Amino acid sequence: MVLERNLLLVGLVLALLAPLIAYNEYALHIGVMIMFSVMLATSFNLIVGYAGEFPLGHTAFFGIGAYTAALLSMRLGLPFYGSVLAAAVMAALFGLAIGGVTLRLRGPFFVIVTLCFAEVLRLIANNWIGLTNGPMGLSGIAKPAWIIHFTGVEQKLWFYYAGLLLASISLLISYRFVYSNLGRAAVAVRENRFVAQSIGIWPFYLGLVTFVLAAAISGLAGGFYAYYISYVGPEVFGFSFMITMIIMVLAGGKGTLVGPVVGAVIVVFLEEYLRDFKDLRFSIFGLIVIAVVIFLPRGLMGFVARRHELYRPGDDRKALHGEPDLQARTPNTERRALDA
Amino acid sequence: MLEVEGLSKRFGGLAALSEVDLSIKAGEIVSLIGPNGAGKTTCLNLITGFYKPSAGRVHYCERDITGYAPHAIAQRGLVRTFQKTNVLRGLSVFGNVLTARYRQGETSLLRTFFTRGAKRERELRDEAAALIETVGLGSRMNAAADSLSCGELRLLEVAVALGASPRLLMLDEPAAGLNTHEAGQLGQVLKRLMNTHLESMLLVEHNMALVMAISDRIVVLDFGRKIAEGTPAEIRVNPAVVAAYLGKPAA
Repeated sequence: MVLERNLLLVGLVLALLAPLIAYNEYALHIGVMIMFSVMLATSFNLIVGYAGEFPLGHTAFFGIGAYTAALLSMRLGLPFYGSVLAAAVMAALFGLAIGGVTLRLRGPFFVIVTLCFAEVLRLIANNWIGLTNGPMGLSGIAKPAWIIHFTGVEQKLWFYYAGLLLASISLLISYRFVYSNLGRAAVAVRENRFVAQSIGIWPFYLGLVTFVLAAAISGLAGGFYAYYISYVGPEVFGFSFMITMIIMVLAGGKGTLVGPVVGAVIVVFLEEYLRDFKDLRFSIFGLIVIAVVIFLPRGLMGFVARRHELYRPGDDRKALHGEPDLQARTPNTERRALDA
Repeated sequence: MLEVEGLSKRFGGLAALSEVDLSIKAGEIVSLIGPNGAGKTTCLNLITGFYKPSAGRVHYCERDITGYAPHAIAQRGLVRTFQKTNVLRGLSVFGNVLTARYRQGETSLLRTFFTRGAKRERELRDEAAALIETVGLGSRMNAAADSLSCGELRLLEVAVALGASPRLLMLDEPAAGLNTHEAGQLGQVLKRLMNTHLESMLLVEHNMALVMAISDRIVVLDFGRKIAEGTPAEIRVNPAVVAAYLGKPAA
């Protein structure tokens, strides 16, 4: 818990400082893609890593968010933050509806039915031309008014920090959820559904809360994506985003908050560095993923999940309220490392 | 406290349980025994909502809970354990019991995300730790659950069940796989809980030494029917029970 929080805070500081050493359009573009991927991976991980289900149609919420933001911006002229927030809310509503149906199923049935929902949404986006402009998609989503006169690199910088803000909010909310009473109950359902029920946990309710939360974060990512790329087409519901999410979460370590962040960073960088290999890069990418799954089945950050919730009389108050007391905490962290 | 009337369950053509009546009063330890396949676990599953009965009613604290979902029954204080040892293996001993305090720490969704609730969290942690001490696992508090011995796992199961603040605890073969010494220890823990943490207990068990030592009353099932009910002394000499376990004497 403390270790994971500290790792995330270190990540935040690094991300805040990164533009100092990488202030050019290309580097900042990669940074924006990382922020966007962190949101997607965090969202997908909430369901895969904490609720223990595998929603293969998770792009549904990403796509809903992207279309919502695009339409609100183009048709109603809503400003950036308004439509991105609305994207999250709309995705959460869809999460409530789709989760309410699909979470009554489990295992392969859940996987297939969620996939169907995403596919149905893709078909709607493709064919409801009046609303979505069909396969042509919605292009020319206006950038926020106050950055229009910025130079290219300044715009990228603005998107980078906006993305960092949204990704941080997503992670903060996830952190509050995962380390709460509710998060523990979600893990109980994942670990053993029968035990969970016998101690008064309602699996469906926990699943739904997790699902809606994940959908909202996905929608947030979608809204951000729509503004950054300034184009949304039916492919946002497609399977390629899904594959990226799966790889980021599995490679980074599902069931940890740090894992998907690390996974997102690695996947975005790999995609860039492997560009030199042209078509071969997909094969190389696949081989790397296979290697990770074989040699690090828990993911790169899997060791974080192995750290147990520990009881130390009197110590928790400090951990919960106190100022970061480095002198007192360091020995604890080491002890945890030994325990784990 | 618990009144079961005419409880029956059929799996296709198989009558796993027929017309079983059972009552547990506050302050009582009742044992449910019988040969393998007698319907003991089925009975427990029916009472706790994991199966839906084919016929019969279950009343708990003057309320008809027949057909309630398992979690809803557990939330009313009727908590069970499982025959196959069931704990959250990926967590520590402490993590298991802390998780089981879920209902006691439940707050609204808004509070989960926007307020700290650190004081309640602190209380929950202390309560969970106290429960672990109660069952005698204090020295294994921070150990991983999958590193425990069989006997310790059984104790952890009891602690997890206690975490849900039961009024009536139903244990499904808690002594399975334990040696005589461990079973004796478990019996003492269970007896001690009766005065402090529980109002009554239903024990499904094969270990006769344990059953005879702690039960106030024993109910015997065979082939899904109740064949006897009485105090340990009565059951020991009941001819129907002896026949069920050892077979009829040759004529």
